[in-house]
Amino acid sequence: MLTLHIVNGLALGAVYALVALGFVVIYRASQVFNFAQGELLAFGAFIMVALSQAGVPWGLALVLTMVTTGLLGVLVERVVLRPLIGRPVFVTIIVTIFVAMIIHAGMMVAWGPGMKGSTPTPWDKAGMLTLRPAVTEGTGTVNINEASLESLGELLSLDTKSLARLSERKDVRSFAGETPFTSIDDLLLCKGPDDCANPMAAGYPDDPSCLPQVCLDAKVYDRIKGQISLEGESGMRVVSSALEVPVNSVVSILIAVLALGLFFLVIRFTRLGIAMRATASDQETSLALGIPVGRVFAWSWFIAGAFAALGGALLGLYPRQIELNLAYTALAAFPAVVVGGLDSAAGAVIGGFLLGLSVVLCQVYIEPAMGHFGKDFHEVFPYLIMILVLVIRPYGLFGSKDVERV
Amino acid sequence: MPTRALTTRHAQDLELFADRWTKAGLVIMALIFLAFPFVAGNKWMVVGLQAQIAVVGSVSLMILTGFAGQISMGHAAFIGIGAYTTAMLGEHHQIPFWLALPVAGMVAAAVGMMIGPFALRLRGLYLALITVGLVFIVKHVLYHQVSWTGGAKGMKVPAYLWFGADAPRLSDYAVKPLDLGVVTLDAQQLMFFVFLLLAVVVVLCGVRIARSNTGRAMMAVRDHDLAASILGIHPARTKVLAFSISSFFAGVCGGMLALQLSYLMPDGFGLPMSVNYIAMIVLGGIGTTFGAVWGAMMFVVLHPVAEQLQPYVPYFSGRTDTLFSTVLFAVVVCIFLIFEPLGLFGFWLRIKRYFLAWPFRYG
Repeated sequence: MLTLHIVNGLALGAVYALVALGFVVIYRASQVFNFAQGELLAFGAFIMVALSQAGVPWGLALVLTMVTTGLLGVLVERVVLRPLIGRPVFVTIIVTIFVAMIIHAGMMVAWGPGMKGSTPTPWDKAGMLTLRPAVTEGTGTVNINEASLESLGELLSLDTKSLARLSERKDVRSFAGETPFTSIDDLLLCKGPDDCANPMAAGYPDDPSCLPQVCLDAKVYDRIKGQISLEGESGMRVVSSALEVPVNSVVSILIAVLALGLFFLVIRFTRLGIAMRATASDQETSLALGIPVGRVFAWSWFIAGAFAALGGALLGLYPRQIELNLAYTALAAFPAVVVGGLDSAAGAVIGGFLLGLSVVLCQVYIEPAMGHFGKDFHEVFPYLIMILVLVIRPYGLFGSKDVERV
Repeated sequence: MPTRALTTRHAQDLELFADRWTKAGLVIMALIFLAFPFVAGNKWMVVGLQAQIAVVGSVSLMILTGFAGQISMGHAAFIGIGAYTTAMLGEHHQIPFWLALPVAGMVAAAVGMMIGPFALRLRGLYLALITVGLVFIVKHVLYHQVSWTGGAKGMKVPAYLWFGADAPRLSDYAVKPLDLGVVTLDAQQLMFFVFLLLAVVVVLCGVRIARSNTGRAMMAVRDHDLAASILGIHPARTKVLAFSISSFFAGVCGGMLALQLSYLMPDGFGLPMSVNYIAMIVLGGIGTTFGAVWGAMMFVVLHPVAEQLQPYVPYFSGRTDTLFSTVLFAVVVCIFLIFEPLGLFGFWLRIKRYFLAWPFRYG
């Protein structure tokens, strides 16, 4: 089960990593905190669903969604943020928050609160990927009387010696007419009474629930169940469940890793990437060297919008549904940015994966332990982690310290 | 160009309300506010009460963000703490509201003092996100600590006038108005006057703080805290003080909100409320008490106005929710931010300068 939760956590983390990376790209280029990333994610998810409901094939729809949301980002940058260059940071935070509200309102008007469903996939949307098949066993409390013990031995093709051992076991008891069947022995599946998968519980005679599980091979159980009267819980018991992970989670992780890898290649090897790095490092010098800083801003918003849209398409995969408040789900990406360090792209990615993992693990392990108070605790948990990280390292895990001069 | 009269003596500089125009304006405003409860209908009375609550809230945020420069999105948390403390004191312990409000303020101030140390290590967005985290944590507690707060179902806020479960309540005057001989005041009008007193006191505090040593220390820390520490100001102490004072007034604002709503639900005390208050101070003009007051009033008045306008706007005319007022407010804030960086205060300065320099274009 832990593997399942880890994979789901990483899938959620992939979405957070995409959103966080877009945030950091914008911040490094233009020192703007884009609180509208969550709304861009929701916008991307809705456009994806709308496009595929219009019949566009999946791959094309994904590309179109990314481009459209990127263009929305560029629009925001040009109209709203270009006049605010040079103003204090606080103002840009406010403006992006209100732009997020306007986008949200636009989506409400365009699609209304009734839009539902998951983002489409070309593969079976509820499919599971089996990493390790299940091992099942038959169990049950089987009532046999002494007379049938022999026939059980015959049915199971037990040799005399094993049959003797079976009847000698102290835990096979017989009542008048009923024999609670306890554990069958090492012949079948368990290696030995000591390392039987289900050790015998003491005190079972009075409490039927203490009866240890029977280790029966499934085929054997199938064979005998019609011929011996069974009582109590019978049927297959899965001793070790299959290791299955949802296909959607695996694909999310793969697509996100691909996109992030592509981004890092672009940053390192293309002219645009070098221009972005130069602008992030020193705007004025870049401008003096002829780098079109305005165009770099527009590109950084485009990339952020495209990645947010990709995140939205991934976030909306089954079993999640797209809804207008998807932006709040993505709100946990902001602590990811802070945990990784505001000006570190790699930190944002790592922080995103870390936080996605922690949210899912919190949901599974911590919430049940907290009782009523723990309901929805996973919404608060990323912020607690963020506070913890910031107390230890005030600039995030990979952020660089602000050097101040007086 | 300067818009105040030229001061020739130090005593003039120290005066809160310097020239006669300001004094005249204040007298007119006082008359309007005193007459308001007697002429306003029910809907506008509610707007008036909300305006006073918003004024207190935005002055408190102004002290934190405008004077001390600490970006805080956690205002809703402090308001929520103040509101629920007032509710719990009234409901569980039958404490009269005039005692519950300062206690609520102090509880909120205690929480604010805990956030203060975070502000020492963290700047800018890091601090803003910690305060966002605070909002979520407080909201979680409000929803899930049901024995204290009633959870999602909410809790009542009785406004006792004196100790004890049998004490008269403010809501009693809705049934039987208070007869003062000259006028009779019902519950809502009484609440209006109480809130008016509180709002005036808080605004005066804001103005005085801005001019005091504390305020100047806060502004120094806002502008450049490293330089301020060289000048002998303790940034640590100043930041914690800013958080405490701001949270105290936010707690009082929350208490007022609780009394006005009289039934609290944890829904409203989230990030949108914080964003609204930040928008109020930015709209009004950061760093000025004038801005805080007028930004708050503009915000509160904008919503009924938007409601009246809604039928005439194409996409929103059929809707029943408050989406249009939210969008209108967002658009107004964005326009102000882009075109008038000093907000309403800057707008007011422009008007004053125009008339001072008239008939010349600039003087």
